[in-house]
Amino acid sequence: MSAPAPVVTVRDLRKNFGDVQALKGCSLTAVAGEIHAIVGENASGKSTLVKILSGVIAPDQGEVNVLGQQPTSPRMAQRLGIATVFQEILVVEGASVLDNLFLGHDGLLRARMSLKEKAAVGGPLLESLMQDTVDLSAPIGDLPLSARQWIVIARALLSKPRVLILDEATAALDEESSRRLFDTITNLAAEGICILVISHRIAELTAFADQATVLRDGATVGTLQGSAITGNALLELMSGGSLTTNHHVDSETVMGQPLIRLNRLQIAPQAAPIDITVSAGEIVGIAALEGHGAPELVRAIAGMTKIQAGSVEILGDGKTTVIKSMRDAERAGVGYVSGDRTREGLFPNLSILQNFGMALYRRCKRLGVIRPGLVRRHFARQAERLSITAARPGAPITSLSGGNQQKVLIGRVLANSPTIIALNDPTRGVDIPTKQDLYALLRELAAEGNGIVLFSTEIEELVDLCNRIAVLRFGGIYTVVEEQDLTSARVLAGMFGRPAAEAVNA
Amino acid sequence: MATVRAPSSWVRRTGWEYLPRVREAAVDVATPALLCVLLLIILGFRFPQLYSSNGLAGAITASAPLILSVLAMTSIAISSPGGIDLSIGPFVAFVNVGIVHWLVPHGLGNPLYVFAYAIGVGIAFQMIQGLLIGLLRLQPVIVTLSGYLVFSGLNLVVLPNPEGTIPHWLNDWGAATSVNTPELYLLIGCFVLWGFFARTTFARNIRLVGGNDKTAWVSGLNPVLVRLGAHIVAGVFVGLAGITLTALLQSADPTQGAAQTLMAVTALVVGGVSLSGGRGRALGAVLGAIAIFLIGYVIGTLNLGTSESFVSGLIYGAVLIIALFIGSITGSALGVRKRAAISTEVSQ
Repeated sequence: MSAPAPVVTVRDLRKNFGDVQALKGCSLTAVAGEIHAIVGENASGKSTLVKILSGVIAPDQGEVNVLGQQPTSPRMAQRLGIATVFQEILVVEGASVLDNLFLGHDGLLRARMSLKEKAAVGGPLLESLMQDTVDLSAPIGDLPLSARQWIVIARALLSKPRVLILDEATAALDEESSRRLFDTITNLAAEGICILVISHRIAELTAFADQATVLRDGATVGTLQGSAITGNALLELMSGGSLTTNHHVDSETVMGQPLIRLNRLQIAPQAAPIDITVSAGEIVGIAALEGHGAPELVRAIAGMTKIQAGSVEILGDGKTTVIKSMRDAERAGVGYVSGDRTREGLFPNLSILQNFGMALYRRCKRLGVIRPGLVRRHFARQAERLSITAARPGAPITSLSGGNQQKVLIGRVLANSPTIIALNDPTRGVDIPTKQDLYALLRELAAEGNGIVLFSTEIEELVDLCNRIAVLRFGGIYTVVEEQDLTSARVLAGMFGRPAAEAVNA
Repeated sequence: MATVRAPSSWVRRTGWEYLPRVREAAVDVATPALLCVLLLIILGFRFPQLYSSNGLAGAITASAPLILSVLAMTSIAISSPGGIDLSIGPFVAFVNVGIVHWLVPHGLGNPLYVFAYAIGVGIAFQMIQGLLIGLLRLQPVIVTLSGYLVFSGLNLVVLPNPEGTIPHWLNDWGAATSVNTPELYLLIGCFVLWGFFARTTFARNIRLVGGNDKTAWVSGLNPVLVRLGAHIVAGVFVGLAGITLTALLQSADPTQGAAQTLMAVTALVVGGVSLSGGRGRALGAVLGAIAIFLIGYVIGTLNLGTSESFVSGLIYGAVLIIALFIGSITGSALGVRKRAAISTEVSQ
């Protein structure tokens, strides 16, 4: 069989979001009739690639060619014959199942099919996919996540695509359902449809993919064919070509008293309970794929999310404090730093000093009046410690780079002298020198006898810094990688739900 | 996770299922319908003249501008979250002023010109608002508030005092001597027209875009065009409202707008049209308008004298809050729930 002409060609694709490089040199070639896996860890640029291929966002640089053209809008992508199941399950809640199945199928003024025809075509397809009966006239609002996922998949199939893109389409499906989906797309591939698949379940990919393109930090780092697609090969490429990112065991780590105990903590309905204790001087890492509960766990420690069951207990001075609210957490000495600065950190229209002082005002006052001098002195101390390079404290916070903004926010937390610091992906969108500063700071804080819980989407960061790493899947602990075993490969294997033994060869 | 079944299903899939739709409609429409019945009973005691031929005719003539304004706003509200048209009152008054001040003196008072003018101006202005909101992504509240202020002023510039003569044929419209008025047929016509419109693909697109414009866009719909279309539909009803206002006033009144806007928004909400987009039906909106109109009648029978305007404001406000409260209860009963953030629904 001669090599078929490529259907999807991507060459040296680049895309920046502000300071963050989502894609920097991504290439991919897929042909008709193949199942092509796109593999990479969190934030490796998979979803950005999918959005560019679907015409949702425009690339900064590079070549995109799908069926001979570059899609510039979702409408055009659809006309070209591209159907995409996005990671977010995109449904219109108030509309019926049937309307959602054929969303975007009709023209502006005229339907391509009557409702009767739609029901006759869409109903059986959806039922065969779901293996269950569905009321097509019911509003989506009533349906569980898995049903919504099937509806979105059925919508893509109903458009009779020539290129089908599935971005984590199995995330909300159980294993049997996933297998059914992969059987379906195997048949579609046999009919000559080009299928691009992103999945966090490596087993699915090794079993079904004809070709795999591996992304790392927004660049293509390798392409595997057929039987060469194995779990180990994929993990090796994902984690940087080698499995050498090992933790250097720091002999100086002195473990002190236990500071915080998660006692059968359940962060979501049906999630397995989490038991873990963090001691003074220890950095405990949390690793998980997106949607598996890592940010929720960190936020639960800071009293910010409602937990389902169990408790977060602060241990100290012989007494135990149960955290029920943010106020409890703050009083018990828990500091929370978020990487999502827009939503959980910054007051973008206030100055650097005001942003810094936000958590201090309660303490820095006399007769109910804020003492600006005291806040300034606090700021000066933290600015020196964190080497914040700010023109003047009165300048707007937005005049700082992402890294310096993050330093201000960490300074805000440290000014309250916490003993437990919970960090929720703190280095997101932060430049490399600042990251190094932050790493040094975290080590210093641990050495001072604080307990640190760190969630990061960068596994190397975790492996480098942490004394042990708890890997979450579906909201519960899948495995805890201890200090002596700490490699990025083990953590990554855990995140993808593979037993550590399989991943170990380093 | 063996079975997946929507709790609200009464019948199995057959292609056209009416029962769930009927039930859904009943939920949406229940509040304004009950309110109307209640008010009609009260008026039976306090204002029995309403049930005479003259009384009903007068009520139809007097309520037509509000009903048509609310229909216009329904289209806009369904098409987007926060979709609202505050300009509607002053703009309807502008149509009225234009008919009396510009068309009649130039001998353009025949029905053809009047309808063409009213609907044309309505569509043109709504297109401007629709483009500002859709293309420039300006907040509907701000855009239409500007429209409200502009037309409140413009009406007074064009016509400083209520005055002028209306086209002869509109005299009959306003006569209100028998239930058999042109307004009744116009309203029935509009309602039937809406019934057809609501079943078109375009109306479905309006609901989908209003329900979730990001999803609609990613699926290939054009939210800007769809919203523009919703505004054009509104323009038709706004124009017709201007004609019925002219018939009601038998003159031109540049100051009629302000109160109308607030009444129309109140009626919209009482009628179960969601201000967060995607949900609402004309039947509810019309019943809401009738209810608001009847409340005015009831207040009128209280003989409050000078304090009437305060009391009516108070009552409209209370009705609005109660309607919102009931709406939020029935809304949650319909199962508009938030999704879990973590994918633990998977039973592994």
